[in-house]
Amino acid sequence: MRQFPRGLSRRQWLKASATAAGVMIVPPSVLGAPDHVPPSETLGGALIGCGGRGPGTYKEMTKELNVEQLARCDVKFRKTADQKTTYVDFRYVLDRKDIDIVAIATPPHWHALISIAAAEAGKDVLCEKPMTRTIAEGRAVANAFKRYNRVFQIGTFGRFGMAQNKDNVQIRKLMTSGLMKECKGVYVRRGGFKVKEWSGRLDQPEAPVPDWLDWDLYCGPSPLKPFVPSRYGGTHRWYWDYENGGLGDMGQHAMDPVAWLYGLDTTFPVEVEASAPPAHPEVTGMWAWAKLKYANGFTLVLESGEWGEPSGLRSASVKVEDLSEQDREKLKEMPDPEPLLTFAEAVKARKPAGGNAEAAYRTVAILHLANLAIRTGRKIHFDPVSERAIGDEEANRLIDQPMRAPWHL
Amino acid sequence: MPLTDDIAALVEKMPELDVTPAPPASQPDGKPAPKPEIDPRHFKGKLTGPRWEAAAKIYDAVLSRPGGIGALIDLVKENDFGPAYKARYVLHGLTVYVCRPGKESQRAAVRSALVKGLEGDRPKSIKATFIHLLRVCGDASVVPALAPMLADPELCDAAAAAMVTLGGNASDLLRGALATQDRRCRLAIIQGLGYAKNAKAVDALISAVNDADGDVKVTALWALARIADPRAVAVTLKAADEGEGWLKTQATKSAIQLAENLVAAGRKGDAVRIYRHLIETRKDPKEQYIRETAQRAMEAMD
Repeated sequence: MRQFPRGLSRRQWLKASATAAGVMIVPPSVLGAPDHVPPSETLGGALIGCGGRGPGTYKEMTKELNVEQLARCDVKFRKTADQKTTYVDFRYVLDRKDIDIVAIATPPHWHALISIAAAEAGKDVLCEKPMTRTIAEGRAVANAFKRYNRVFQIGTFGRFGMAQNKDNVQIRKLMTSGLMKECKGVYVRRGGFKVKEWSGRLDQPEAPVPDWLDWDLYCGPSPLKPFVPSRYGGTHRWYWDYENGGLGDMGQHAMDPVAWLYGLDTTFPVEVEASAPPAHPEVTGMWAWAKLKYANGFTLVLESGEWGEPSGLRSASVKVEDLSEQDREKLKEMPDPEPLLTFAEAVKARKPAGGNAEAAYRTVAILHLANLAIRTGRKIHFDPVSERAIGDEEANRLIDQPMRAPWHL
Repeated sequence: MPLTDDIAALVEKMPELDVTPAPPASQPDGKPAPKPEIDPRHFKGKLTGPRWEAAAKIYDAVLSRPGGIGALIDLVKENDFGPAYKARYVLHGLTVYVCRPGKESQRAAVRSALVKGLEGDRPKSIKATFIHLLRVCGDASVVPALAPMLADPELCDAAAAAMVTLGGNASDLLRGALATQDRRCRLAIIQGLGYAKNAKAVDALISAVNDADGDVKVTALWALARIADPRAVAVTLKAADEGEGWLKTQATKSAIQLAENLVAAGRKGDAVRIYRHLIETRKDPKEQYIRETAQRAMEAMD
C-alpha cells in the first residue's frame, strides 16, 4: 500500500490533495466536471423493476432531463436477458459507468438495498414509494445518500403542490421553527389506504416457479419461501415479507404533503397506538385507526374507514395565535423554508431534492410506526433520537430485521 | 374432551376467511343499488380477524390448559391455506400476546414449547416458522437450541437471524459453526458474525475475504467493517483496489464504513489511512464522488 508523506498533518494533506485534484477550487458545475451535470449533457438512465409501476417511475425520473435509457432490469427477464440492455440482476446495471441515474420500481423489500447500492456506485435515484419496508432500512438509505452526496427523490410528489401555497409555507415554517411547544393541532386522514384491497388472501396454494422468473433473487433479503403466485406481481403488497399492506404503500402518498406541511419529515412521533385485529404472521390485514403523537403536542390520526370504529378525533388547525406575542415576533424574523427542488433540478444543482432520502424516510416511518403498533397490539413509545422503541425490545425486533445473506444494509 | 380436540375447538373459534359479498339488492324504487364502499372483488380469501379482546380470550384459554401450547403447536401444518389457516394464526397471535408486560411466565412457557417444537422430524418450513416466532418472543436462553440449525441450508438463515437478535452466546456459537462447507450456511453465519460484531471472528473473516465466492467475500468485508478492527484495513483496501464491478463497489463501501466505525472507536489514524488511500487511488473521473466522500469524512473529523 502507498505510504503518505510523513510529518504532514491531515489538514495539510487534505489541502494539498484537494488542490492537486482540482476539487473545490472552481465550482464543478461551471467546468461540467464528471460529478456535476451541465444543462446540455445526456445522462445514461436505467430502470430496475419493470412491472406495473416501472414505466411511470422511469418517465418521472427523466422529466426535464436529457436521458438515454441504457438498461432495464427485472427478475422476470430470466429467459430474455442479454446482459447488454436487458438484465436480471441489478448489480450488473449498477456496475455500468455510463449509467448516471436509476429509477427503482421493484417491490419495496428491494428499495433500500438497490437505492443504497446505487448511491455507492455514484448514481442518483428516483425510487418508487414506499421508500422502505422497515425503519432501519430508511435510516440506512438516508445515511448512504448523505455519505455519498447523491440525489434521491421518492416517487410521490404531493409535497410539491402543498409547497406552492404561501399559507402552507407559513404553517411549515411555524411547525419547524421549534417555537411550538404545546401544539393543539390534529390532522385526521380518513380513507384512501386500500386496506381491504391490499390485505392478504390466505387461500392461495403453492405453485411451481415459472421458468422466466428468478425466484431466489426476487425474494432477495426476505426469507426464501415456496412460490405462491400472489407473492409476485402487484399482490406482493399482501405480504409482510415484501411490503406493509395498503397502509405502508398508499400511506406514503397520503402522508407526503401532510409531512411537509406540518414538518413531520423533520422529526418522529413519540407515541403511537392503533386499533386493529391481531396481525397474521404472513399477510397484512385490517385496521381501524392509528394515532401518532409528536413531542410538540401535534397529533396525526390515520383512519382506514374499512374496519372497526373511527378514532373519535377531529382535525384541528395549527395556529400562529397559539404562540406567545414574543414568539410570533421571533417567527417573523426567521427565513421561509427553502423552495423544493425537483429531481431534475437537484441532479443539475447537486442539491437535495424536495422528496430527499431523509424527508422520505421520516415520512415512511409514520407508516412503519403505525404498523408497529398494529403488529404488536400495544402502544409504542418511540425515541426520535435513537430511532428505537423505548422499553419494548419486541417492537425493536420489527424496527430492525436481519436480512437473508448475502444481502445486508 | 382430549386436549388436542379441546385446543382445536378453541382454534376453530377464529373467524372464517371472507367470501365475496352478495351484490346489493336493487332499490325498491327500481333505481340501481348504491356502489359498495369496498369493491366486492377484494374480499375473497381475506382475513378480517377478530378484535383483540375476543382473540385474547382464546389465547388465555390455550394458556390455561396444561400442555395447551404444545397441542396448539402440533396443529400447525404445512400448506395450511384456506380454512386451515387458523392454527398458525392463533399461535402467532398468542406469541405476540405473551410479549405484553406482566405475562413473563406465559411467555417462558411459549418459548419452551417452541424450542420443543424444533425437536423431531417436523417439516422444515414449520421449524422455520417456530424459529421466526422465537425471534419474536425468545431471549438469550433459547439461543443454544437454535445453534444446530446453522448447519441446515433450509434453516440457517432463520436461525442466524434469530440468534443475533436474541444475543446471549450467539456470537460464539456462530463462530464455532463457521467451519461448515455448505455455502448457504457459511453466508448466513458470516453475516451473523457481522450483525453480532464478533471481534474474535476477525481472523476467520479475513480468511473469508480470500474465498473464491464473491458473495462470501462481500459479506465478510461488510462484517469486518462492522467489527471495526484495524487488522481489517489492509485486506479491505486490497479488495477495493483489486476487485472489479460489484466487488470493487462493495469493498469500497466496506472501506468507508470501516473508516467511520474506526473513528467511532477512537482510532482516527486508521480511518485516515483508509480515506487517504481512496483519495489517492480513485483517479477515474467517474470516481470523483468517492474522493469527495473520503475528503468530506476527513474534514468532518476535525
